Amino acid sequence: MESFFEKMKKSFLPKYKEFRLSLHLMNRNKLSQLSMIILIILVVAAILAPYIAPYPGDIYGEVHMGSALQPPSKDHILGTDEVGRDIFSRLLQGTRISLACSIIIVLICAVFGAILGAAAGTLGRWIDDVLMRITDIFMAFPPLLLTIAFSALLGASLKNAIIAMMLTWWPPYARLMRNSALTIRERPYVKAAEAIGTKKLRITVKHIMPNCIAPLIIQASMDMGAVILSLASLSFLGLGAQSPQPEWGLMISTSRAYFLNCPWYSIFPGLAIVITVLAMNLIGDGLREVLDPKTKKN
Amino acid sequence: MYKYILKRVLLSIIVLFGIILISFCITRVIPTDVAAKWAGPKATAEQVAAARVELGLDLPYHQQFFNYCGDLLHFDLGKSYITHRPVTTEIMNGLMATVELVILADLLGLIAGVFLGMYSAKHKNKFIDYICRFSSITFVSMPSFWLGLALQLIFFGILSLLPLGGRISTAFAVLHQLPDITGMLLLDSLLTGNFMLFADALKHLILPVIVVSIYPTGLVLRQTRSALLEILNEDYMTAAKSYGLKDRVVYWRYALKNCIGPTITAITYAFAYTLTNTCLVEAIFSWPGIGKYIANAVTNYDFPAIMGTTLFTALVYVIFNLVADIIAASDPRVRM
Repeated sequence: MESFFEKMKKSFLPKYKEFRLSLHLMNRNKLSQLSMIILIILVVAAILAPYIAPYPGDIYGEVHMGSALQPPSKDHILGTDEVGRDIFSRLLQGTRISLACSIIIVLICAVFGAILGAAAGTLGRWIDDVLMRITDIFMAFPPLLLTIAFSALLGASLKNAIIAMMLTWWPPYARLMRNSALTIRERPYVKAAEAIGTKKLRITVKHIMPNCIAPLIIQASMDMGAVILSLASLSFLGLGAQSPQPEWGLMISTSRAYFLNCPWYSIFPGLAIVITVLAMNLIGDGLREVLDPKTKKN
Repeated sequence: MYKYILKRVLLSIIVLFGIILISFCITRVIPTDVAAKWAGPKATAEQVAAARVELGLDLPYHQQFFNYCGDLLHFDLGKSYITHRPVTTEIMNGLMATVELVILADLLGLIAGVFLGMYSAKHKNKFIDYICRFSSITFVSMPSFWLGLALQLIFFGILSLLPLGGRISTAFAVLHQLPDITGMLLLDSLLTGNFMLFADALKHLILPVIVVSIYPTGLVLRQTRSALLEILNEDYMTAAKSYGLKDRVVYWRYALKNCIGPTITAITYAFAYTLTNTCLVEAIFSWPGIGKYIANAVTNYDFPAIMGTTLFTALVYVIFNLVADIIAASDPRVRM
């Protein structure tokens, strides 16, 4: 056991130190630091949403017609919606939906794209050509429209919107992975591994893929916010989440009918989106500064 | 250079073929009840069968695809399930409204982006630079439909300065004969000398243009700022400054000329992006363009309309990206 821990320590210590250095570099940027704190608060809120919501029953079905469309007050700090549900409770649950969806979508797209890109980059020849042309085709569609088409085809529901997003968000990862794989493939350590007869799959997984990860992480951190925005847009058009799911875009869409008389109903879900997406974008910017060698020097 | 362009054009053709294939699958192959949808909810079995023959759905897939491509060569994007009107006509009806919106928004984005980017680069790492960069990220983080609602609330709901939506006031549309020369109301009203119409159309344009211009402004700002920062340290810039030239001359005449290339590329990409992503803004401002047409088609599950418009905009998108790439490549300093 002892030796196992020693081994783990040896292999993880440098990585941990590197991680700590990156974290330190990022923390020099006050804005990303603040965004990190906001994001942590949001994640905690998302996890605890059903337990800390002041009116847990309002998150889904409950209806209190007596207290419909009330402005923010002591009882309902962000007001109530058209059937008297507490907007704050629903926004909390909305955090859960948005964060979970964006993490799932980005993670699956990144993994899928990485595998495809690595296959294209290392296998080369016609496989590379075919895979990259498919990637080109998907990237040639206007970003939001293809997602709209797919989710309309699958039918309007949150699950289908997520599938539609997954179908359209993977190409940049494939391309990034393939491009870095092409350069990493020529590095001496890969050549050395090849020379001692390591299998191709093992070289790809152990030597090439881990060294191409930085641009993928940057892309993923930039995409997190964009995915939340797109999902909200789909819901706004009526394709994503369906009533009574407390999805932010859907809440704004429903609130349109009342927005001149009850502005709080439209404003707060939008603010929730802006804060979340902004925090993610700032973190993405900070990460890019730390991880991207091009920006490191200035 | 020519080899690169040729390669890029050939690639675009392959991509277009793939786009058509995907769009064919989405409209014809995957939905199960195309004929039933076409015939309507109250159709009898015979009517559905007749619709199947009429649409050519009884043919094998490869033949259907062949027909589909043939139709596309005639600019025939199919007919809407709901209205049974050709999608191409509907797109052409809305196209100029969208183009008007997008051109103005991109112009605004270009001007504001270059100004702010230059200002930002001039005062690098000062307070004003942070404000510029932070607000550009903030605005890009906003859902466009929400920003539209917020602006409507402020300028229509509270200040009652600007109209809620649409292209012109209803009273105007009823009382006056609208000129139809280019389809862009602003230009048409100027051409016919109808200044009241011009003012009315301009009022309706302000809010949607602002919302659409957010994305190009942010993109151009970032591009101009980083391009300028690279240039400002060059020797010839120091030389120009040490001659005692005014800041204005140094920045606008010397620096801008050298960073306009990437900016032009950025605005071309932004144009393609905004042209294809106006559906949310158009839906909010009930702007009668192709974006609103898509938004309506989505609520009706009108696949020929959705895919026809997607195909059309994808074509525009591919062409503009091709042009942007060629512009970027035609800069002799960029090595292929």
